[in-house]
Amino acid sequence: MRMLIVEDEPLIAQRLERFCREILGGKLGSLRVAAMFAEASARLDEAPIDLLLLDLNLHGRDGMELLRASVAGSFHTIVVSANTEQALRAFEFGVIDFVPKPFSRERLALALARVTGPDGRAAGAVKFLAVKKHGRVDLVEIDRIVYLEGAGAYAELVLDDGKRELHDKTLEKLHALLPPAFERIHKSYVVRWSAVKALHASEGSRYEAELRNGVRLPVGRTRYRELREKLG
Amino acid sequence: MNGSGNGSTHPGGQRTFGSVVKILRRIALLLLALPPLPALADFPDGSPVRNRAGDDARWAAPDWDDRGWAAGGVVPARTGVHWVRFHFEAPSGGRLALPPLDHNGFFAVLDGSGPIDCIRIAVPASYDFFWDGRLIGRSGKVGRTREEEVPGLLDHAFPIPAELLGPGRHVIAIRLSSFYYNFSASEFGLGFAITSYLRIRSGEINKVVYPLISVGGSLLVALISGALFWLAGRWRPLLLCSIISLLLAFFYFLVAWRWIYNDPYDWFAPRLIAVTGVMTLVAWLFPWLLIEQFMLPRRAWWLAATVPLLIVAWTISPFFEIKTLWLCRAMLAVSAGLAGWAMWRRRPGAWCVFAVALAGLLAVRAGRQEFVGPSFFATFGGLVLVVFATLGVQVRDYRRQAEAATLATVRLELELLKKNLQPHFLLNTLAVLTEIVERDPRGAVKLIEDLAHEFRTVACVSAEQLIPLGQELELCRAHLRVMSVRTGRAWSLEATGVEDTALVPPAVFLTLIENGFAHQRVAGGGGAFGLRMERTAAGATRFTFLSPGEVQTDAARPVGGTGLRYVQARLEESFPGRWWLNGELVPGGWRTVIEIGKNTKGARA
Repeated sequence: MRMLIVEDEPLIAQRLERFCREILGGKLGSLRVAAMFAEASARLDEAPIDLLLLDLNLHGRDGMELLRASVAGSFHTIVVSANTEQALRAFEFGVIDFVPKPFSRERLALALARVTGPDGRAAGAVKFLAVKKHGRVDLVEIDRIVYLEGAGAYAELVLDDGKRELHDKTLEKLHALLPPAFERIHKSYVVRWSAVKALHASEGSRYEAELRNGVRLPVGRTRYRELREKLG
Repeated sequence: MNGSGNGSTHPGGQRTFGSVVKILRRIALLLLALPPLPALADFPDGSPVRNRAGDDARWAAPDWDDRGWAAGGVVPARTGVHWVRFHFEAPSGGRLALPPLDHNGFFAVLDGSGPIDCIRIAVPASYDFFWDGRLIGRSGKVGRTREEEVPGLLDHAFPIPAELLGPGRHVIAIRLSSFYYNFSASEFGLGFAITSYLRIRSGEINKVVYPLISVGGSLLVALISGALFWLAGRWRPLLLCSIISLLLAFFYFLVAWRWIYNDPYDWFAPRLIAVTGVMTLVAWLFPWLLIEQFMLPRRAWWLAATVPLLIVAWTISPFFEIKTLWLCRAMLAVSAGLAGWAMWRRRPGAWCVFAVALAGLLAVRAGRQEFVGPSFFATFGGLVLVVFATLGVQVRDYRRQAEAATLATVRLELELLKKNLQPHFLLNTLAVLTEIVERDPRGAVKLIEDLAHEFRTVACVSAEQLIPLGQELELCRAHLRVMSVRTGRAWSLEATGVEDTALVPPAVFLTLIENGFAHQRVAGGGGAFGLRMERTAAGATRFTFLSPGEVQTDAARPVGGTGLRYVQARLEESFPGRWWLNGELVPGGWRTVIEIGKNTKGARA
């Protein structure tokens, strides 16, 4: 796990760093600390990260842009902030957790578990996914997404009008952010369960899900039985 | 001495007559539509009016030869018994009608438009009245000396027996004495109207209607504005409005008095002096009211400048209704000037007062049949109403402003408390504290003490409008100690030339420090904020505040943020319109200059 801590108060940054090292132990690959996101973000391409701990003040335009730029990245974002009233807004934009200041070691461990755990889920409801496009960040409403298709280190969002948007996060990371209404049906597909019309089993143990818009998506063999039961 | 008759002038005529004559002459002028007076060839000088000093009962006889008497109806005042005889011809076979005769102070009106049965006389003298030798009326008791005379009433209406009203020549003779005549003039003229009794009575009722309505209206305005003055904050214009309305009620009452209660003739002059005196007071107080109401400067100058105008108005004519007219005009002119100035200064309602004063100036006239005419009542009624309405609107606006100011003060207090209890500051500090508690318990106690000190001071000063600068600096330094721990750097405040007792709004410089932390970055291990205080040559106090570090956000941001809005609101609260603030980028940081003083205008760059 490669981490970046953005925190301008040195004592708090030291505390975060200390806790992270204690909690993650051997799982922690690298850890950098920066006072401001702008300083660190330039180096993200050469030194990619998996998790960002971000001190965020959403008041003003800068805070909002910072949040959008952050959640559009390939990494998960945990906001560590004193502005608790901004937590809902942060979740809407797709942060995996919001840790209010002052924080305990246990609370931080819980947040980190959402990222490192096998079935990690975001602690709040995401409403938008931020997509980098032509040098800017666009917001895609979760309600418009029909399914997501994994493409290596990226994922493609397929929208209700057939448009496709490329997201920097992996399918796993996006699935962790999305609400339970989205189901992993294949190692490369996550689908909105309400969009599934039927499941089909064809020759040669090939399984497919038929969507209401006519699209057929492959279903993983291990997932088929469980999904069959869920469909009823 | 030509014989043309109608209105011929007497070469030796006096220029000043009694004011009664003047008033009654106006009645005559009103009725000028009648045909010219027939020539009376009997009298060499053409005058049918003769007078003579002395006393003889035979002079009442219609056939007495008075051709040797002096021509004209003007008699000297306070000199003993005088007789005046008036000859006129009633046309045969028709209605009795006579053109108005206005002859050298004497005039007579024979109003034949209705049934003739009465003669109306208003003469400032005691007299016996004879018609064709027959005594038909008496006013008081004529006397050869002051002691002998008993003053009669001013206004009289005597019925004329029908048998005396036939066609042909008639002679009216008046025997009079005027020891109680107390106008300043040394002579006076006579006048009467021969008309119908009903006409006289209805005329008198009409004369009293406007003044009495105005008495009621003025008393009401006086009471309401007086009550408002006592109940709504002792605002001086309301008191002035009340006093002026009360004076106007008194003025109208004095005008109406003649027709309500018929005084002896020696009360006529004092009443007119009182009426004119009251109008003088009104004419002087009204501009004062406008100055107070529209908050115009140089009150004493205006009030002093009005006095000569009023003196001119008093001397412009010997007649009191003309004096009153010019007093009123002087007041309207000054009022129009003041209201015009107030308009230029954008005072609410000033244009209404200006319009009414200007209209009044054009419209107001002396009364023809009364002391003051309908235009006078309309002008004053309009003026008082518009001023009263404007005052009402102003009282309402002041209430709203006062409420808004109270709200603003409460809001600023809340804002200051919130600023220091805001989660971002408090929770970040607590987060730092959790770390220090584990690492350095003694340092944690120190931080808690500093934090407590800052909160205590804020709680102490938040409700104040102004606090000593020393207390403000203490607050700033407590905050900097907390921030030093939080940021791990050393922050200080270097103050030069400051007077600890100088008064400033609370948390103004604290807010500038917070702005510095929010918008600026300092490389290295900390920095020093700077505050310099100085007195300018213009008597203002100038604070120059330097916040160190490179400005992170765009340069416009620190000028318009919530922090600066708080500073501006606090300055405006305590020094309305007398402060000035400017922020600019300078080498090494951001400089804010605040100037407070009498010669500065509220503005910011």
